[in-house]
Amino acid sequence: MADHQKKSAKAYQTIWRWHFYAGIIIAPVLLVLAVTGAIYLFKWNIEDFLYEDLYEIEAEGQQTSPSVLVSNVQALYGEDVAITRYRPGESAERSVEIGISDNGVSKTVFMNPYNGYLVGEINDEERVMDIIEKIHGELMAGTMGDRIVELVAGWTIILVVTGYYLFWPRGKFTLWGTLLPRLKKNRRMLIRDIHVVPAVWISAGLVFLLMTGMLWTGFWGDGVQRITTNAGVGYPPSVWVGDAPVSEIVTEDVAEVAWAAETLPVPESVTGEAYIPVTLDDVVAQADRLGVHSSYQVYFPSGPEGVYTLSAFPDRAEDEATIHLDQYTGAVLADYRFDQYEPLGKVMAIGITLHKGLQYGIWNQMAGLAICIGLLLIVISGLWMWLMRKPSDSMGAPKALAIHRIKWTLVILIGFSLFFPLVGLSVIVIFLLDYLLLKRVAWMRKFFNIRQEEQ
Amino acid sequence: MKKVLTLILSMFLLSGCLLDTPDNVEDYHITERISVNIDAGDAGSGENAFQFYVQRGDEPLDDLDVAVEVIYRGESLTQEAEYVSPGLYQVPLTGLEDGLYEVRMSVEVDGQLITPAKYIGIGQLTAEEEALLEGNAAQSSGGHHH
Repeated sequence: MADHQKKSAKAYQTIWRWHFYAGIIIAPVLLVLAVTGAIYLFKWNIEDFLYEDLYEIEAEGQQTSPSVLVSNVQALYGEDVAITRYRPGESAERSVEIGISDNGVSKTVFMNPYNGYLVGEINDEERVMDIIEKIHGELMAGTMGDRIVELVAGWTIILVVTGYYLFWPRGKFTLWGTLLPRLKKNRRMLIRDIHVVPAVWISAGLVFLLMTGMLWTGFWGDGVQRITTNAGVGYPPSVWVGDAPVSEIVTEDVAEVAWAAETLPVPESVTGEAYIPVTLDDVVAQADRLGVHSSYQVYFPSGPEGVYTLSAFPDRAEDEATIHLDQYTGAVLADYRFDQYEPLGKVMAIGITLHKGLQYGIWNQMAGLAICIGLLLIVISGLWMWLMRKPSDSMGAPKALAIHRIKWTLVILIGFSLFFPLVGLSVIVIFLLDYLLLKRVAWMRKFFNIRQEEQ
Repeated sequence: MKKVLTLILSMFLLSGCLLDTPDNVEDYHITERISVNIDAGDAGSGENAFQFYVQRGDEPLDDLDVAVEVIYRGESLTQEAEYVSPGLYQVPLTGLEDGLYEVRMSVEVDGQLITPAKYIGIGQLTAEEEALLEGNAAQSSGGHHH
């Protein structure tokens, strides 16, 4: 075999080994993300169906004022209950939602604005789609789950890149086995094609979903937000009125807002003796006057210096709004909308609404669903291929070769590690594990197919 | 192996430094806060008046239509405030009885509806009115957190 052929074969083997182990390790989480992602794409359709009795009301006559509805809730649940948010119905046939904290339990109370009566309530922790979202975003495991999801997303991008390298036809291009599965060949070939063909079709969309999904992550997403903000190419660090707020509270601490507004510092209401807070009716009137999208929510001040926060993040990123109002005058203290984002910020905001399947309605949902189904096929067929040829006494992985012998793969790995620091951290852990443990224990060397001469 | 580890680790740490860059708040457009001060003051003719000082940042605002609602023991009276001087508007207090007044102001500025309200005590207050005034003052100045 010629030298370049040997090098090429070694590179192929190394890439395959990385693809193999990364795929097996992250497959379970990837399956969870694909399934929950596919469900979450239809969150609004599912909730409309599940909560139809709570959402839909008959439009009949004049609507009661927001403050009367809040008083009614207070009368029903007791004065000790804290009102946390108010969401007017965005259409005439939609009930009003009032968020309460009832002995520490967060609930949503649905009110009929025409007769002021209670329609029903939901315990927020039991909302099915919120649970799905928690699984999708953090595997129901808080910060640890968030980091795992980020790690999996980063490694999935590596899988896409290594997968392309492995699959790329070395000979003549053929439609079958590349863009279409060979249905009439043997079972092994069919499973291989179920792994490869969907990947060819969805990989661009998958990488897009992974990158936009990672914007929510607590490490990489937070870093991107800070770097783009500080560089002045993403979101404004803050758009407030008057002096910079002294409060270190950021908007995500007081309200559920668009991703772009999460780190917006919260200004403070100017307190003075004997001033009376504005009414909820004034706040709702202000929201209408400011042209906030009808799906907005009002978050109540949490103390004397707190603010009313108007938050709207509807289907289209262009309609996002986060507005803080002085609780004693109703004056706008910060008005933060899509138009104020820098170009990269706008791209990220639209990326997020595309990720959630909202920006372009049903077509957006279908595209997202196709990617999720494709991902499921890729993961299941990949695992299947492995199980079909796995020896009973080892992992069945390709032979280990020292990665620094193939310089360009090392450069790519370092590049990924820099761009995704958590991936970089995991690479360091893998190297340490390999160096300190795997290569030193005989049965491990055999199980993981590490040859003595490669040490 | 050690070289690879050192290289990855050092570049990894270097990437962390990118996160710590200076704040660029000044790059962005900042508009001025609209604020209102409500009080009872000397109207200049020996009479007192409810006075309203409206400003955008430090700039007093003129040519505003300032509507004022005065609520006294359940009775409500709404009237237009008169312009006095730059930023200053007032409603004369002629013939007012002693007691606690709830003064609500409404003005539209820059497309916003500004609606501050304040309790103002005139003359002798009842114990109940004193308590309401003091309770509200404590609450709005940070004495009570809920």
